[in-house]
Amino acid sequence: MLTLRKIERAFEFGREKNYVLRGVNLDIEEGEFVTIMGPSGAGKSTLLHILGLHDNAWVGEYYFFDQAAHKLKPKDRAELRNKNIGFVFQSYHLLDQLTVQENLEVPLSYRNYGRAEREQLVRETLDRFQLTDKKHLYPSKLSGGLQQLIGVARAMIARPKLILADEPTGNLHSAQAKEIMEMFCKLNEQGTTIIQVTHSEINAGYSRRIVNIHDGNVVGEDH
Amino acid sequence: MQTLWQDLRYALRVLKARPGFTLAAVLSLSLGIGACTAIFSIVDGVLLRSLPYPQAEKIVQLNEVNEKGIQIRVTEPNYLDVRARHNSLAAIAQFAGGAVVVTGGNEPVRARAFWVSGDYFKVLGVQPMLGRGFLPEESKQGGNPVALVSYGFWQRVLGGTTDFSGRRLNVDGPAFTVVGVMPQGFSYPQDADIWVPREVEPPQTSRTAHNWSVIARIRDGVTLQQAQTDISTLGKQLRQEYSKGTDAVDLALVPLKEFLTSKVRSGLLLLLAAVGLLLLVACANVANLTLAQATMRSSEFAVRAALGASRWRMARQFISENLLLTVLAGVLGILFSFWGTDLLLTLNQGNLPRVQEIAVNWRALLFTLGLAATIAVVLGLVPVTRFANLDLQTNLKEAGRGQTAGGFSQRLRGVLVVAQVALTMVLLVSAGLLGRSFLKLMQTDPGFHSESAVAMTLSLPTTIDKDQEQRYRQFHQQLVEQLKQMPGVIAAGGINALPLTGRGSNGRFQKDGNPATTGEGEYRLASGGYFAAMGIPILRGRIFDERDTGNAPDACVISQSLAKAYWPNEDPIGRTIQFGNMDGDKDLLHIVGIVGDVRDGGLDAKPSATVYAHSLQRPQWWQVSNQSYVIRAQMDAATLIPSLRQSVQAANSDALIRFQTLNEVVTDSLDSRRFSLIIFGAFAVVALLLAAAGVYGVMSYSVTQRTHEIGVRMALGAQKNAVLRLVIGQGMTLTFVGIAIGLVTSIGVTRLLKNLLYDVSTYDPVTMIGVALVLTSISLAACWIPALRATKVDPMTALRNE
Repeated sequence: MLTLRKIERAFEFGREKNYVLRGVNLDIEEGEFVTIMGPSGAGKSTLLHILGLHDNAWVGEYYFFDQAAHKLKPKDRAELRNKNIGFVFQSYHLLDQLTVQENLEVPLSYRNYGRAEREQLVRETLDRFQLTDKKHLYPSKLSGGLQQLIGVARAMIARPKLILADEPTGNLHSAQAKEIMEMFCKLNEQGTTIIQVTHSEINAGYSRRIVNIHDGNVVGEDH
Repeated sequence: MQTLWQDLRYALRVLKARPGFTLAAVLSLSLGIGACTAIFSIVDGVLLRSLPYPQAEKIVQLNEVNEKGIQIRVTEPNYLDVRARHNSLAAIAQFAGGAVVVTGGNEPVRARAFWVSGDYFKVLGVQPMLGRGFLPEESKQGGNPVALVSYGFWQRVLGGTTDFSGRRLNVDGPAFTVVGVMPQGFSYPQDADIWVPREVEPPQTSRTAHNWSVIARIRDGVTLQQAQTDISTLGKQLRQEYSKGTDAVDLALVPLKEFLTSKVRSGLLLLLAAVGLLLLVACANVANLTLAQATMRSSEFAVRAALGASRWRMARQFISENLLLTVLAGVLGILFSFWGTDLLLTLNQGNLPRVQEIAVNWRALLFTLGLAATIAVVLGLVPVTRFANLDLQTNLKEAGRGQTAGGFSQRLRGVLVVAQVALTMVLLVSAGLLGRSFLKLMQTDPGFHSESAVAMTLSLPTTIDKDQEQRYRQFHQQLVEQLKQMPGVIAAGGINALPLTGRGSNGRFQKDGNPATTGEGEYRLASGGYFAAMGIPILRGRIFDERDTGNAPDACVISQSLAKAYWPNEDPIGRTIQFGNMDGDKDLLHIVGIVGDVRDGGLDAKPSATVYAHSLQRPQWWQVSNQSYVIRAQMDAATLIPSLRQSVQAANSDALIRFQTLNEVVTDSLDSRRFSLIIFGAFAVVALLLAAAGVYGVMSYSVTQRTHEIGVRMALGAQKNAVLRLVIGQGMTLTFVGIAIGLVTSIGVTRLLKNLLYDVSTYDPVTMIGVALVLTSISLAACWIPALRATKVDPMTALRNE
């Protein structure tokens, strides 16, 4: 599904170049649940954003199925992302001024769904994640666990093939974290490919493959 | 005291540390304060300050009231009757006069001379600063001709000499001996240079010749109301006694200050309102900037609160900062106001009364001080709302991460932008309506062709010497013939008062010599070539020609509207008019032709019903002393001016000449409208810039505040267009709400402009839509830069901030 070859990413500070990723090679099959682990500053989140096509300033080869993402224009990359990828963030990043229902609708509004279709998908998602009774509430009125659940629901609503999660339980206590990880497992069982970045060995245990990164290099894998 | 000093020192450091904010705020406020102070200085000088005479509130203007209820000037017999019979006045005086050529100084000068009756200076309560006033024996028929001069004339023409015994001035004929100099600053009526006793000439007898202004001082212990009742009773008695022999059905007393300022009062108050709106827009701008600063400094104030600062203590910090800001803005504003007042008076072109009393004085400075202090307190309190529900924990947590914007603070900033846009809309609509009126007036046909023609006004010293008068008359006759012969000249002719200059006379005439059938019209003395030179069409009959000699019956030409008004279904050619009321000559005028109407009273006035008598057949003393010539040329008429000046001065070196192209005559007549338009326009443009800066500031700040949200949206799939829509949508929503409120407010407010508009409705849809489009475009441009910046947000960076 995903093939990375010799991916490099550097940040420039004046005349100096600081390499965050140095020649990363990685293959991920459809339906996998992969965890990326490593110490702080190893390049995990950077790799995740490259996989999510948020970042355009890398070099190397990136194939998404049979599409050479590295050859696509930014606009086409955005289209590829919108069609296939959903995101879950550590701090949920729900929009404070929108209700639960409206937050779920945001990704759809950027994907040319008609109004009726949007409403139907939001309704279905609220049912699926058992959030219907919360649909008119604002995020600030909800617990961290519920907020992240909405974050996951929002990532799923446009039916992506791939979910990228950056420390999805970093702000949650263990019981809430467990619920979220079980939700990921369920989604994975239903066919969604999941890649998460985490420091937590327990959460990593939910995935079937662990990629270790150190100083911008893939240093090993555990299955 | 020590903490206040500490606050001020800290405030100074804060302002120095944020030069961009300080500069923007000081400039916005100083523009508003400067404009406000300048307009206040004018309103104060013209409307608010009492007249510079002792017990000025007791001085009144006395007017006749005609059958239409209009107040008009007074006839001499009516004035004399009032003077003899009143019971409520301490003194009463008549005066009349205007511009004349005066000789007797170093060279002939144009001056404003007034014939005043004996109690004139007693009414005003002013005495000469040098020399003496008129003696009783000088204020009677046959008395020695003496004159008082203004301080300015004394300095300018008489060289400020204290020995003016034997200095005689030729004023409108006779030679007057100067006996005194009035105090500096005294100049009533406006710009008066010379005062001479009216009584040396025999009194006029017509009760329909309204030639005199009358002022009076109400007796001590008598109220204005009581004096009004007394004078009104007299007016009604006169009507009973003389019936239709007098135009007055009543007499009215108007406080002199009110009388002098009535024409400009509403215009000046509108300007004050307009500048008030401008100041509000400027304050809203600074309030917005201050709120943004407050939000950026929320963590600082959270720390202060955590260390024990009360809300009042924090408010004091903001007030101190704003006090410093407004003091700086006030100082700069005062500098602007000095410059602005001079500019306004230059633009005003002599349309304002009491100009000599207009100055940025201590009252204006006090006004500015009050204004600045109020602004400082209000602006200081605005950011306090930001801390109304200060969440210490959140703000402290945010201290290391950036800024937060409370919902209330954000909404308040939005409200301020909406208010700015709405106020700007009102100013723009007002300026737009005035502009459209001005354009319509410029397109109005004045009744003559203003292109390729120049007007030359000659003033010669008046003479009572019959031989000299004859020489002057010959000079004028020869001059008009000479003008016609000049190369490039198509036509030339003379008239005693050019249209649109307000210098002509009007009055009542007898139709067909019958005292029972009267009409009203303008009265002009013109030569035959005048109509061709002006391009006024001949509609019927003929104009003056060689048949109209001194021995032939007096001919006249009438305007179309006069013909329609008084001979609606008849042919007026051959009918007669007796207009002795104007020039004392009761010989009948025989109508020989009808010419097109001219809008003599102004482009916004109805065409004037006019009688043109022939200048050769009705030569009057005032005609030969002040005559205008119109010269129409094949080329640009202004190129003729040097040769015209040369030939006139060669023929008569005493002649004072003034040139204007006819286009200038037309545009000069719009001076007062141009004044209002320029002021409103300037205020509207400044307000527009401030509003644009306001929208830009809010949107720019909002983008900074929403960087994270925009990052999330981009991470969720938002593309460039969606982000542009998000930001521009927010800005334009504020703009549209502002425009809608401004539109409704404009509809209410512009009714006050009704008197200043011409042929344009106060609800003019073209102006409303045009202004809304301009505001929309400017707001769009103001939103565009922040919106573009928003599209450059890197979602990765924005999300990393967590």
